[in-house]
Amino acid sequence: MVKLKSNDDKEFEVEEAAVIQSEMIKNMIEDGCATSVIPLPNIDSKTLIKVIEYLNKHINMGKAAETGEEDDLKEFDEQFVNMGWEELFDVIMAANYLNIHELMELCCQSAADRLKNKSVRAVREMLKITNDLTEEEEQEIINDAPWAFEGPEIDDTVN
Amino acid sequence: MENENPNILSLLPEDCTEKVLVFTSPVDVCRVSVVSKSLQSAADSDSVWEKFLPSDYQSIISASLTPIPDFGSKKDLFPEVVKLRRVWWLEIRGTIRVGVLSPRTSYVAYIVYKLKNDHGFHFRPSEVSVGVCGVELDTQFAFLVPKGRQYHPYKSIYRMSSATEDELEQLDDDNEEAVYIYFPCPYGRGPLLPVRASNLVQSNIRRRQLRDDGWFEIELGEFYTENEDDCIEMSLKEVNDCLSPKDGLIVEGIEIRPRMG
Repeated sequence: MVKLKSNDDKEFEVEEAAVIQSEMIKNMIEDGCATSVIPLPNIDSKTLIKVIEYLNKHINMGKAAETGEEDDLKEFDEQFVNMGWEELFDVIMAANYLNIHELMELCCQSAADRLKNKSVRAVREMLKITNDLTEEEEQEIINDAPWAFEGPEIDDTVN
Repeated sequence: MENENPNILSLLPEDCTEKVLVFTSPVDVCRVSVVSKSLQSAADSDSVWEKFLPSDYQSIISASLTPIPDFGSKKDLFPEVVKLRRVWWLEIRGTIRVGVLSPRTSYVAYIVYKLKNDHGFHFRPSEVSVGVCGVELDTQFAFLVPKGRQYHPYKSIYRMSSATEDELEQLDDDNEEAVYIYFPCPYGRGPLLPVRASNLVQSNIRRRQLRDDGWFEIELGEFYTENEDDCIEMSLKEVNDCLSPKDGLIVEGIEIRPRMG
């Protein structure tokens, strides 16, 4: 078992087989630096619980393929990323820091899917961004690639 | 505290924002860059655009016969497509060394294109071929524009002498599926030149497919990677009909994919 500590001083025990999906922790264990608790100063307990949930589900990915649990895993992933933007960004930052490649890919893909075909206005509203570009700057970018701003696929709804 | 900084994206460091953008598409990234200054900076970054370029883009640039205009960033490299100005003879040719592909695999080459205010492609099949350089190529026919009706040698002679292209087009509007081949004579009203007509009747004529990304593709042919020093030549040409100018073809490139199944 490996002990992880979040930045709000909560400790979690995780199986080594699960936690080594994080390249960072795997390297620490290999280098013998994981003898006691591993402090994770960038990750709060709420996010760490999500990450551990993912790691536990994804132990022995190879086995899933053999036993036909792939669909189950796919369904889990779909449910897993069903979270708000803030939470999703927290998990992305944690996955980036811990270097968990599959989790990073899953969450970035989900964020990308939410941005796909969205209008500029919709993106601003979804992410609560105030426009800080001048009208001229904005027009200049649009003139560079007008094809990116027209067409029936552009979606102005916010979700 | 949270209300002071409602911008959710500002929580995310720029390198993570870039990693998200890589999973969208070039069109999405261009649009997102108008959202705000910080998104513009992430959306213009080389690390994003490098992922949208072919992985071997550096060797493509160094091998280019025509110099690529100055590019300040990887984004500038992206919109390098070719639009055909009015021409009479059309010939597009690409070569690739077998060594850069997987060994002993069947590959299919496709030309990826769009048409804008196109002219001169109706009823005229292009010759497409793929094969090892220096070895005689197996030529097939393909329609860049699908309109036309079933090829029939006698009928086509009749049509050529009596109908204009506009009239033919009218006829074919309700018959999108049919194929018709129109071979005008290069010497005005002189003798007909049904160029390789026998070849044409037997061969199945390639049709274009609409891709998910909005471009059309047509199969040029297939090849098998055997000898890694071989050079594969892929081409599309339409040089029989030198009377009608061709215009409005936008070529993204030639795509090579392993044959499925």
